[in-house]
Amino acid sequence: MNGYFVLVLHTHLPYVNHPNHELYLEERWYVEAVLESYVPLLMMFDRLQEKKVPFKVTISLSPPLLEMFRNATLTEKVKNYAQRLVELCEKEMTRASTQQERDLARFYRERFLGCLNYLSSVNGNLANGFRRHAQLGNVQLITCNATHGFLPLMRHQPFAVDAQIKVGVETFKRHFDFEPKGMWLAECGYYSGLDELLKKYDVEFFFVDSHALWYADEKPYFDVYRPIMTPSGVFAFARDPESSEQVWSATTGYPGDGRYREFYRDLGFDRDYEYIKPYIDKSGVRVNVGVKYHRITSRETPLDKKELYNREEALFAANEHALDFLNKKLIQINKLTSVFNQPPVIVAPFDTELFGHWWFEGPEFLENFFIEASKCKQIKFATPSEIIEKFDSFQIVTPADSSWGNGGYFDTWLNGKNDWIQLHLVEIRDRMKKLAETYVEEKDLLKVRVLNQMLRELLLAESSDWPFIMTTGTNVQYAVNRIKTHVKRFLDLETQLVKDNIDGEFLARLEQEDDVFPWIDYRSYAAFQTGKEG
Amino acid sequence: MTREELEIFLSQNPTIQQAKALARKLGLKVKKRMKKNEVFKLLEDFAKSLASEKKHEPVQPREARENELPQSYGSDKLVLLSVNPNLVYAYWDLSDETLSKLSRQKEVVLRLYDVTYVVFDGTNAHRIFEAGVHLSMTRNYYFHVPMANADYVAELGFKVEGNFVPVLRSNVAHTPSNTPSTSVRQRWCIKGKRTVRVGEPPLKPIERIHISSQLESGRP
Repeated sequence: MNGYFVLVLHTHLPYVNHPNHELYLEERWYVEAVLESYVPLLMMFDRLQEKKVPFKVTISLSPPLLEMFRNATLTEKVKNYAQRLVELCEKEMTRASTQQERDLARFYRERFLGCLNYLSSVNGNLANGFRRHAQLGNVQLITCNATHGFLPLMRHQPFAVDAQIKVGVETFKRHFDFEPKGMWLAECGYYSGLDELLKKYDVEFFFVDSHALWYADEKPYFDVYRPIMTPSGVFAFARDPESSEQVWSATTGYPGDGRYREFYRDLGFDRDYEYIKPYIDKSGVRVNVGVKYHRITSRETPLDKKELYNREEALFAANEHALDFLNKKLIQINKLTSVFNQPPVIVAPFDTELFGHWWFEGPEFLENFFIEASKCKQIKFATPSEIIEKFDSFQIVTPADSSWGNGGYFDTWLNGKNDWIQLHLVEIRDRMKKLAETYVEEKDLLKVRVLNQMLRELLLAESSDWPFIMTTGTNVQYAVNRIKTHVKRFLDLETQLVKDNIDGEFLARLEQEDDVFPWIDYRSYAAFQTGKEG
Repeated sequence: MTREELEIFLSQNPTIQQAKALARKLGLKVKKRMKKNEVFKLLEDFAKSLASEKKHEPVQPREARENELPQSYGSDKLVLLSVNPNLVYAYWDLSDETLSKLSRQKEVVLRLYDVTYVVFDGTNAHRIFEAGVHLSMTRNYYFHVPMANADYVAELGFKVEGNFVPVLRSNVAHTPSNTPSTSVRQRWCIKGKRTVRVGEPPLKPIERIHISSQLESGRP
């Protein structure tokens, strides 16, 4: 054995819950992620377990996602949608003119039925599926800061960072009944001093991008190939740039292979309007429905010229790429071992939705990678906690302020397209803190509910997804509305509280729609002792 | 004539005579020797000066309109956030009192101080940067700053006879580092014991660098 491989799947979606509407356009993000990524990955883990293939994956589950997993209304929406897709596939099977098309329709039908079966096997809550593999020792589950708020932009309000971390740890405990050892910091957003707050909540490790170590206060002896210890004693694992590049690269990355499924060719756009109408958005706007018959063919091929998807060929490609990736890892491990004379630790973090949603065959790629790697002695899979146990020397450094976003710093979450949100976020945080202090002894249950809901609205407004969407430019209006809605709800509740004029119906509606962290206690926002300023 | 109508007219590629005729009708100065593209430019510039209909157009959904947020909270805050090693963002939210106080001044300025390793007392910054501010036009600024891995503080105030009078001071913002450390010190925790070594790592990282083609970097 001469190298460790730590695969990290960061699993997060913003909280999108519109219980008083039929399937909402943005709720499809969740439905698609469940049907295309989460369930296929969990089913893949089950297969590996059955085949007794040893594997280790670190999976962060963000608190909003955990809250969506337990949301029965959303689970019903996922099931209904999958059932409608089964029905669509049946129509497709009779409609198909060639055997190949009929086979594809049948393939999708079985796939959606499999998803439905899996969902009932975990009682509709995917956290149960993840828990099972955590108990089997295949998966180390970790948490994420409360609503995936981008922490470097909150550092001048340390009480806000404190709440993000506290709620992140607490949500995980409530769902799994054990403490999370690690935390995925939203967007790998780190600033020096953040480790002290992680320490406060017994978080033992987190992840940073490569340059957080390259530009640290002292040069990392093992580069990014061994976790470092921060001065407060928390471990930081840094991303291996090669692993990401091999998978992601626009020119040489695996997901662009012509044999893989084409994401942008979808029945939602291909079929006659009247025929597909029951399956697209309720407003009548065409959207992807998740049934896609074509393969990438080649990157230059225009969408209407794509060839039909061949599942066997695609699976063959996934196997080929798994072998290639394994081979590259072995070469890398050999090279690094000869440099360091010690086993390197290669950390490869990805967004979970890459596997299955964006790269349809991603789960099979990982499956093959685990199967093939289990035959090799030179590479060993490990979880971060195992790595910390295995080594007895760690360098102490303070990582550089950084993120894994475009450019490596904070530009994505603070630029001309989204900087207006700061005025509101900074203000409602200060107000929340003041109110929490003023009402710290409050006994009136209705007022307590208002204060708790205000903290929920504040946390939901802090999600990094909203400024991210404003930067990337798709669904901007939804993101803008979400920030405005949560800030407005916060301000309205505040007015009602202060004027002692609480609208119980309004409050109950917000509690139902913005139904996160039911146990939350606004007093924690007051409890924080302001430390030194960033 | 609205901006949209004028834009449509231009997009239909009218003849120079048609374009000149319209320009005259609109009261623009048309010279005899003007070439077609010059007349077009004249009309385009005029179009830009016209109010767009579009602003009133897309009727916002009811919910969105209800959600309009306050323009100001009157909180008298000056907030400074770092964006990357060479960019910091400052915004301010003023109370009516502060706003009227500043509005009476001829010269309102925003100052940025490099206070790295300094307990700032208003006078001991390493460097001072200053930019004039039009309070009626802007409520935020992006500063290009020279130093990565440095601490900055901003102050909003005004100048009287060359003297700066601060009104609001911001929090400290730290710009991220963008270079490897020059130190050769290594602190280690070996079997729970902390020790110090000296030396260079055996590997040099391959850092990312931004490439821009000539097209992107701007034309002459």
